[in-house]
Amino acid sequence: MSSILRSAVVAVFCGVASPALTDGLPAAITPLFPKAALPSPEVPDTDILTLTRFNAAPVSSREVPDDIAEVVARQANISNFGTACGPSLSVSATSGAMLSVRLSAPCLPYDTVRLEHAGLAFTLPMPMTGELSFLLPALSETGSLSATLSDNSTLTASTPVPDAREFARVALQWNGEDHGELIAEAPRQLDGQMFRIGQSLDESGAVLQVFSRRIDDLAASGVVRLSMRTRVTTANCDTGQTARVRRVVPHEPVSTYDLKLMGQGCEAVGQSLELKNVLQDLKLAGN
Amino acid sequence: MHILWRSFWAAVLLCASAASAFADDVRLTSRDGTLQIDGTLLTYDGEFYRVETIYGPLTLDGEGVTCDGPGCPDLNAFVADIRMSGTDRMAEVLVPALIQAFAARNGYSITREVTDDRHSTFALSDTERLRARFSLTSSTTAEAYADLIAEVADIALVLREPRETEVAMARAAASGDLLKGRRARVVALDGVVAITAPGQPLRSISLEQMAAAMSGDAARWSDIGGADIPIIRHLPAPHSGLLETFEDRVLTPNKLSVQEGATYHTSLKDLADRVAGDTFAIGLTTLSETGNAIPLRVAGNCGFETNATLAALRTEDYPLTLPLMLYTPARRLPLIGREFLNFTQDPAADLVIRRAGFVDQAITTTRFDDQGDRLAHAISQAGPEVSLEDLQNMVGALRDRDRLSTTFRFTGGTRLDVQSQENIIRLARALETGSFNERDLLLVGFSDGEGPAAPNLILSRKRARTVLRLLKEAAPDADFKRIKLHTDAFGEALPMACDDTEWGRAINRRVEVWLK
Repeated sequence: MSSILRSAVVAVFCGVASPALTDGLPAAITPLFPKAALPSPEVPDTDILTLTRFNAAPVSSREVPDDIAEVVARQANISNFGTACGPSLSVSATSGAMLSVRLSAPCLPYDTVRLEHAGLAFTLPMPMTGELSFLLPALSETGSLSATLSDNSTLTASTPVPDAREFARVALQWNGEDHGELIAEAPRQLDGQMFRIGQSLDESGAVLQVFSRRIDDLAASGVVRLSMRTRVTTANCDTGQTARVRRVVPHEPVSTYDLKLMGQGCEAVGQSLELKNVLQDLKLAGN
Repeated sequence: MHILWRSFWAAVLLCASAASAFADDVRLTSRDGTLQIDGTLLTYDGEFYRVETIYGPLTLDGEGVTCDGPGCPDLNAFVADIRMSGTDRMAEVLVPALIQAFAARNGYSITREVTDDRHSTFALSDTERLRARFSLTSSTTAEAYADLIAEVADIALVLREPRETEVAMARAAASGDLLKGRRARVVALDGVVAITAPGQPLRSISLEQMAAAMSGDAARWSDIGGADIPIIRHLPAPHSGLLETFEDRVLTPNKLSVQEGATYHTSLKDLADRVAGDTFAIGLTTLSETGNAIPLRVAGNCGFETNATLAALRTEDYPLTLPLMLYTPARRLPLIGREFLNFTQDPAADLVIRRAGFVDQAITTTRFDDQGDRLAHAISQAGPEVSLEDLQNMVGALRDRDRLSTTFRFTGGTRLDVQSQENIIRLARALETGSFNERDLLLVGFSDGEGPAAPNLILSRKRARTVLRLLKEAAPDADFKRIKLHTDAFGEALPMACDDTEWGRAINRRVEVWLK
């Protein structure tokens, strides 16, 4: 408890006041929820009030508001911006069999969130506002999505995406910090879209790459070459890389499987590894 | 114990000369302690030990012996290891698709470990633990047989049966009768095709023209009936097996060989992509890997044309059909490996094979009405040898029937080719499972048109009877009281290709199956 108070005092003392705090005095008297009732305030010690070492401490500008936001959120269940803390996830289907995703976790700004859809995962950093919205190509007709936040809470949402069956999609999830590329090569009349979603900052991160082609308006038949390319880095030359593939192609059974790209040896660092035979090419038949 | 002794003496007799020094890492002792075998463990398949000994390789039942030594496997954590090696299209496309379908069907989760484009391992796990590893090496038919002999592969993915030299090599390597007998099973079919860019106006050529174009004998498209522009040749790598097949079946009979100036590709994908983007180009590839290029039809001088289609490959009406085979040597495979082999012959695998771009061997039917082209030809070729009455007889016999895709072809005389031997097994199984109960199957023999009609008719009848006999032998459990199975023959009455070339005559020598 004393730490909350101390931080508040620090903020006032240093003249660094977050937006929530300037008009946030009511926050201090709002009962904590769902936590237990506020304990009785402690009278600060005089040596805390001097706080000389805090003044001198090389605190980055980012950390200070972060702390405060956390404090306020925990205390009042209200974010820096005065919105309710309760995280929420919503998805809706938009044109082109895309999922429009809105994730709100205002009390966990700068957090990394892990999203899972149809067995594939990717990670995204939350902005300062704790509000995230993006488009994701649907990889199943049920369009269900789950988001795992850093406090290990999981949110789920789903929406039917009936027009997903009009698309041939091949998705590749790359795990880890260094990711490779999914490459699709096709004649112009067959060319589709490539989506790149997610940002991976460390070993636990993942990004998603999806090749998508509408098939109900195809005039020509042909083959889309799918290959993967990855760079041999000091991080993966020994242990290799892992990835996951999902293939959702009409008239084919849906398949999801794991890939492990074996380490190429650390003398190969800097080279790139091109794999043309691992992903089955996409054969598209025109109407 | 019984197996131990039998294996022991068999090995002693066969390989008495093969004695050499081994770094023994296992000692297998019979349960009663009377017999000991020292050697190097080659494989343990969950049931049997296979040990390299001074007597040669021995297979011993795990039930009958105890194992001591550093090489002994952990009996409770057995992971089946199945190593496959062979031709690129099979190792890179067909077999991966089959393994994935096999895993999905049996509830295994799968992780594909990729070393590079030519080496992959599929790890199959159930909910408890890892059960099997299928490793795949992409090479050539010849290397696949060498890998079998060297015991670094358990299944070879091949385009042909082993050659005499390979059988001899296996014997010399103390692998005994490793490559003896008919151990190749056709899993799928492919076709050798010539491809061009979509913009190339020439759409059909004869096999002789194809030979001239691919060898470099014809330098310009105008030499083979096209525009006056140069031919740019794209060929598969010389050792690839595909080019060897083309040389054996097309170039050599035409007394041609590949001249310099062609571009060689190790990857058929690259080959197809290059050809698709160049109107001057011609490429040699397989039907399963034409990419965005277009296959040329194969025409005969008398007006027949065949397209490399699913139906034409199944019936072997296309001249350059390529059977893709799994060759298992005379040694045991772990249970999951045998299950996988069975799966490749299962009707459930047919769809997987088709989706992967290959041709399956499912038995399908076409109606008599769809034989218009062939009948028109038969009528146009009728004359003194084939009379109007002959044609009327034939139409009368076939009119109310459907033709099965199963067709039998002969390498000469009455000896069946590889694909047709497989067809015997497939059709026999269908007979045994009752698929044709209460139906009427007519085996119809045909011949080529060379020589007088009367002996040809006799020969075609003989072929039909041969097929009938083989079918009955292969289907001992079929209920022949409920299936009407009989033969007929019409000699040279219904040709499918021109008789002026050897390949055309080979297509015409056949036994078709007609169903009522």
